[in-house]
Amino acid sequence: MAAPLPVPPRWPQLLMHAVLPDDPMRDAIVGDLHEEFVHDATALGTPAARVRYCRRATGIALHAAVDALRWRGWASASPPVEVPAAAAAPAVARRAAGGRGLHVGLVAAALGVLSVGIVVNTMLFASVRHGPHAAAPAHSAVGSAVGVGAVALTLVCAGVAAVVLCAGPRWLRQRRLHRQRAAR
Amino acid sequence: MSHKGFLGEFEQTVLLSILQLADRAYAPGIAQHLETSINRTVSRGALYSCLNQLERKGLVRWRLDEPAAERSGHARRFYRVTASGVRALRTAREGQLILWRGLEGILGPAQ
Repeated sequence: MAAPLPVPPRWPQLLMHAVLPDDPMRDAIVGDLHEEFVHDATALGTPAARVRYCRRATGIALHAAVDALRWRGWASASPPVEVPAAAAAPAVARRAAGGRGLHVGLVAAALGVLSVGIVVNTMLFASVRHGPHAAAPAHSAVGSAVGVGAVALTLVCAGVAAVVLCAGPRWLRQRRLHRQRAAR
Repeated sequence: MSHKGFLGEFEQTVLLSILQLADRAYAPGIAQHLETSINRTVSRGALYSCLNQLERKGLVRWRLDEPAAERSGHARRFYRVTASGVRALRTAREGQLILWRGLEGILGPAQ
């Protein structure tokens, strides 16, 4: 009986769909990740392939989020070379420019979430270092726990900010289309 | 990555790799080519970001292949360097050659 094909973890695929715009670029990236996963699973085994898959997907999501912050989403800027430009250009151009006007509010929201994380992080560290229990014997253990918590909170805030920034335009666009349909 | 129209080092590397791979240049292939040819491990995020930027600059174009089963039904996206990309590489090479000239005494001869 043939062995079942290895299956990549599901959450990185969901992450890709949340972070990247609906574009041929996203389909290609998901396909590339799957192809490399199958190759790695054959060469290194499924557990190692899953680790690599998650690592690559996370790295791609982080780079996409940083690029989106710099006003360069990963939507295709040009149509494919083998499709007549007149046929494909409007769709790609619309997708590339889609939601740019909406980005201002989303960037503000993302920066707000990130600022909250940084401020809370700073307050927690300050309270541990200069608080009333700063000189207590158990200070180091408490400090470590608070430090880990504060860093985790900041990372969570950064993640939320990235998701808001990357997936937000699509959500807003879908909501606008839904409203237009309802109005008709 | 680069300013005022100049190519960054990584952009040059990726463009050269695409040229080397001819019509089979897609992201995993480029990453593998860089690993095997110059022993450079490339982060996938950095690679896609660079390809996206090169496309926006008009230095590469892309085409889609047929969807494949081993890619869960997704098509490969093959890149090729445009005429502007070739010109940018030539300009970068000329600048580099000028800067490398006369430094053999310090850096040794090219291998």
